[in-house]
Amino acid sequence: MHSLELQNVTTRIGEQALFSAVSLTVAASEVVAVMGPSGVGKSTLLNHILGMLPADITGEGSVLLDGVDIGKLNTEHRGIGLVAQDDWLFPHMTVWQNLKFAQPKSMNRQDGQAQITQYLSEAGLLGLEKHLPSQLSGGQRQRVAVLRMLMAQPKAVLLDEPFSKLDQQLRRDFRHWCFSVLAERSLPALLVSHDPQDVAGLRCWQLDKGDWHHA
Amino acid sequence: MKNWIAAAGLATATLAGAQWQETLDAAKGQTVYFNAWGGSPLINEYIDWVGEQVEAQYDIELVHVKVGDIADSISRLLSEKATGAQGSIDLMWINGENFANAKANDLLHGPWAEEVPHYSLLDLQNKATLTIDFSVPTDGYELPWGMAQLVFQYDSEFVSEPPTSMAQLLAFAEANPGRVSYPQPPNFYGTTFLKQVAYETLADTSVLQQPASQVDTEQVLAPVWQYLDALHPHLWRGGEAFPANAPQMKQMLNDGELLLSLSFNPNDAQTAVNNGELPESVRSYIHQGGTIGNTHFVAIPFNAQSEAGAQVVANFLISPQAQARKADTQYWGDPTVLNVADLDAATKQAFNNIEVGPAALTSEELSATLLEPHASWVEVLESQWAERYLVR
Amino acid sequence: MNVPARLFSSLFWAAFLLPIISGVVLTLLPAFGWLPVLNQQQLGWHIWQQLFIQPSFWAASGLTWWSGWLATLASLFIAALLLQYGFAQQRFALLSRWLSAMLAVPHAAYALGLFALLAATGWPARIWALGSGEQLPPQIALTQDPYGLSLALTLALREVPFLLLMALAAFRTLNLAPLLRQARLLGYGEPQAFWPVVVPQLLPVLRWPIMVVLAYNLGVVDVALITGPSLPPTLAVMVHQWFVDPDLTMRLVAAAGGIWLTLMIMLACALWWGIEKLIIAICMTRQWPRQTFGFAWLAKLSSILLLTAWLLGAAWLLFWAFARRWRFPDLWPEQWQLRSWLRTSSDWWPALVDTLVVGVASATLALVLVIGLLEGVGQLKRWQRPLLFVPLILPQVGFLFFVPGMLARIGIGYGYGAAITLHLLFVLPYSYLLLERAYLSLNLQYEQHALLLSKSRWRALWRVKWPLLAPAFASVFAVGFSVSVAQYLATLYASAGRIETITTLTVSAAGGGDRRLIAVFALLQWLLPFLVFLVMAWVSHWRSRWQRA
Repeated sequence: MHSLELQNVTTRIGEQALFSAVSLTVAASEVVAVMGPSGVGKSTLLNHILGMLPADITGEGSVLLDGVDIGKLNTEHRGIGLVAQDDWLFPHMTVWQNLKFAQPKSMNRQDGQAQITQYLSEAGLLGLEKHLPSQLSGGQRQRVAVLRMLMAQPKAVLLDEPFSKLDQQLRRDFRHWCFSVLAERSLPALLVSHDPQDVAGLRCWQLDKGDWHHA
Repeated sequence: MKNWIAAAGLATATLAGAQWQETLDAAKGQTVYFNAWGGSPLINEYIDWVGEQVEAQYDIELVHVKVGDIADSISRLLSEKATGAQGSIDLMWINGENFANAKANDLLHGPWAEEVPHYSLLDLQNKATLTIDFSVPTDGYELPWGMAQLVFQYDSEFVSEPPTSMAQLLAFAEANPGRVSYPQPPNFYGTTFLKQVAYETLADTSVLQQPASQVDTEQVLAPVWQYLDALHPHLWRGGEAFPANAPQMKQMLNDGELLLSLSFNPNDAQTAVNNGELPESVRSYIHQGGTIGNTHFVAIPFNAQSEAGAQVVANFLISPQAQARKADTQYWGDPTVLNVADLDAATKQAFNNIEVGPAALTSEELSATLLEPHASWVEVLESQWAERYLVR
Repeated sequence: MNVPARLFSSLFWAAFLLPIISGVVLTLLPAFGWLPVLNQQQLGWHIWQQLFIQPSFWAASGLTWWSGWLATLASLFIAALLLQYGFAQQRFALLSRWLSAMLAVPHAAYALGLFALLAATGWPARIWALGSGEQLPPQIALTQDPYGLSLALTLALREVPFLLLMALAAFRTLNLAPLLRQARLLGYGEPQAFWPVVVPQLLPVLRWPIMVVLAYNLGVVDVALITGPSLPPTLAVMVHQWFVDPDLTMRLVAAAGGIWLTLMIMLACALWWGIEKLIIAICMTRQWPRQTFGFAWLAKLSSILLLTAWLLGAAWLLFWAFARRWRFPDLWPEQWQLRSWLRTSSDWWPALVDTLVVGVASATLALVLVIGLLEGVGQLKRWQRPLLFVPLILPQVGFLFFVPGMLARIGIGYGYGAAITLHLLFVLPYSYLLLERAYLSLNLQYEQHALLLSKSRWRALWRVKWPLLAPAFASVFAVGFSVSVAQYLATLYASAGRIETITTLTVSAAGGGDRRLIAVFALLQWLLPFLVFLVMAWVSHWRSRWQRA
């Protein structure tokens, strides 16, 4: 069972702390929400977990994945998946190539093909594998982005406003689908969002002017 | 100065004075574009001085258009002729095959040279090259300006005994592999080196004075290529690359990359020593059997805008005043075309007072000059050289 | 389209197309035997037969092909390495700060500066000689080597800043940084993510700039004269020499040679198109190792090489320009002097003035024409844009020679007029491309609000839009100026020798002679665009400060 845990995470620009002593635990199959006004450091928190802080920001505190501190690892070795507001599909690759790109090298060809086909059919995207991202609708693209993230077999998932660019109806369906695929794989997920609808029924933390508390 | 004016006065009196006066009047206020090689600061400074003089004496503005190769200017004339455009050149520094080409293609104005007053001061009797440029008669289409002779230079710090013949040069190159070279033909100096090789390797050198078209050139020049085939493997970079020209060889002599260099000016090495370009241990020498000598000229293009001004400048260039300064190693060190013996005492003295340093050669040390081969040999030597050595 | 808009658009195209079309036609005719002034009026293929049997024609063509491709692929590879290891990861800050200053160095001066490293009398050779006690320089050919390696190296290093700047701009426009991040989240290391994700997207965008570099490397004359071999020289040098051959009928062969070179370049560009596809396919299918230490090492080495070549080159020229006596193997001159500057002041002072006149005039004209075009007509249409690259891709020896004669005939005359006209040909494309980008990245809202508030197009332009674009104008001007300064053949052919820019002066001096004087000219050529860049950087800095305040 996977779990993601933050212990006393503090980030600073120079001497000035953006936020301090953030601690939380996300259990397997659980989605925990982080809310807060823009500019308060939600992205910085995610970047710290990913090991991608800009050069002028320093971060302290541990990030534990399955109880192991991953703070010293390179981004690509951390085993964390990200779905962001924009899908960041590679525009020069087809849907199939995007998904293939994310599969572990060790997987043999047949298994890999079978897995992609299976994932695509689960998401109702079968038949689109030869399409380029630019030929897809917004909802389809976002689904492919989630599938791609899952292909890389992450142990925990960060969702950075993944629903905010979709319209109401689409948004509800996608959110539902998204949470269910994560739960099926018993993945812990941290969701950053503005929208109260998105976080309804979730354990919720508030990040506000450096202050960290349960909502 | 006074003497020069007297000489000019005499010339004016004897040679259709009224006509020359007309030329002087027409030249007033004109701008003369003088296309001349601009690669030497010394020469550039000299031409600047000429500009000041003709401005003061004749109210002519002289613009030195510095060219890398006068062939550029010939091609400019050609395209002007092609398009009917306004002429851009009034006077140019020229000789040899460039002259032969320009003359054959009707790119020159003339004949005019024999009508300028100072023409009578030229040493026509002793210097055959004044009227025959690479075997082509000048016919008054160009006016002699200076004399030149091929000389070699070496650094006495590294070389005790310089090679004074082509045969010795081969032995020298074998003993010092990679330290000898010559400029790549068709560079002027490179071609001259080939001619010198021809003079020293052909059994009968008189053939060089005839047009090349009259003989079987392959057969005639065979000894030249035989010699070079033997020489090339021992040259700088195994003969796979050559210096671009003589000034570059001078720099390489200074660096020690080469042990020998060459020049067309017997005073060149001294001038270079004086300004730090070469070490003080550099000396000049020539080959035992003599080296090629020639004359350089000025000519006026067919479409010159300031033709009168160009004639007046040309006439000034061969004035005793201008020639004496030009012969001085302090300024240029280029041997004169005038008959110094016939000049008046004071001017003669000015020529005799010129000091020659240890790196230069005196006129006594310069033994017999060899005549330039007929202009047609240039093309033959260059193209056969290219056929042999340009293709790897 | 209103009247001034139509005027600017037709001026733009006239300045652009007239010289190119006439140049091509005037070169094609002699190539097929038509040059009436030399009594050559027999149309046919005989000139071509003559061309093909010129001594070492094929060897020169082969050398050109080899050195041009080697230089292009090498600079592409170095640029990719630096982008991958350095800029994409925010490393090499020092290098990135100096990139555009390095780009400003004219090719000829750069080649002369590189002698500091490559020449048998350069610093490495001097250090070797001091160590081994040798008095004479080593006999190794690192300049003008018969295989064109030093030529290729010079061109490769010189083009890296250009390719890098283009790539960085595209990197930002395509917003590749987050994609790279995504790839790393999917488990890819830095180089592993770079080759399949970034390269396939960058290459198509960089297609034209790469072709410009390729064409330049194949058709360059000044750098090849300085550091290329001479036995045989590259084809471009050969053609240039035929144009100025004393045997006047060689002009026809030269024209055919120019066309031949053009064909070679067109073939190269077509080939590149295929190679680009191939590289992309390789990048996307190959399994890249997680960490390629060789590449990291190579990237560090190339960044050091780029910086040292640039700095040592400048130092070398500086030393020689003030040396009186500097013999091998001394590391610095034995005696110093100012005389090299003083005695050549009659050369470089007027040259400096001419360079400034032509450079400022062509950069300003280009700026005005492009602003007029962009304001009046807007961006060029899709099919028009490739036309911009035509003068950058055609070899200058292939079409410039006969243009000045034509210009003289229509009254523009030799000298400044012709030089500015020809320089404009090469300044315009860069000015357009840079300014178009600035226009595109400017938020349209500013202009719309300004129009709504002031209700005057002119006021909106003068008070809001153009002040906002002022830093872009300044840098476009600086680029235009440095493009103009670097022009060699365009100046040579246009000027009838009457105007001499610092570049023609440098190249003609570089042919031989006194290294101290060459250094004076090359140093000036080096400094001039650099100073303009500094001034412009200061201007745009000052402007943006003023905006912030």
